[in-house]
Amino acid sequence: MSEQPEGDQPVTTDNGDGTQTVHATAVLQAAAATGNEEENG
Amino acid sequence: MAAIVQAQANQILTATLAIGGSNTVGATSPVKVKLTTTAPSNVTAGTELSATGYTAGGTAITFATASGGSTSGPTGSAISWTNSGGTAWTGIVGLEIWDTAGTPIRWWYGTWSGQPIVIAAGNTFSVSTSAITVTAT
Repeated sequence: MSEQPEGDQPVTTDNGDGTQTVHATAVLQAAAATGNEEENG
Repeated sequence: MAAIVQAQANQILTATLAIGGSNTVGATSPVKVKLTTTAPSNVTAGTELSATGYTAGGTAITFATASGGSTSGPTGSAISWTNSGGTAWTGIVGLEIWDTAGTPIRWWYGTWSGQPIVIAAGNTFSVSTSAITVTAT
């Protein structure tokens, strides 16, 4: 499970009535394949 | 390197997100998505948003059939909350997926892209179809 990159901004659209909608996205990743995990033992 | 057999990854996603309805093990359907104002961690829940227009406890969400160790939601239609109060929501940071057991269980967590996200009074925070990707590989 990982955090998102800060630079990836959500898209905002105008609703035409003076309000806006922010469209959020997220990625939940259970395990990052970094290759740097410590070995148990 | 952390890795998981793809077939087992799909089984975990199916169980913990209640894909396709109730499961004999894993998350109690439906699962809900909560908004948080702090970053959740693997051991500590975030602080849930408390604001006018947000439904405390979150909103039910469904996920697509897992494939390739990944799934996404919501399915069907977007989930949204409109700030109907008089002041901005100053920082939506994270999200959490909880089930609806008698004592709800937190299964997944993460942060929104570009967080913290500010929602001015009258504006809407929306999670479009498939805007949340969950990956177990």
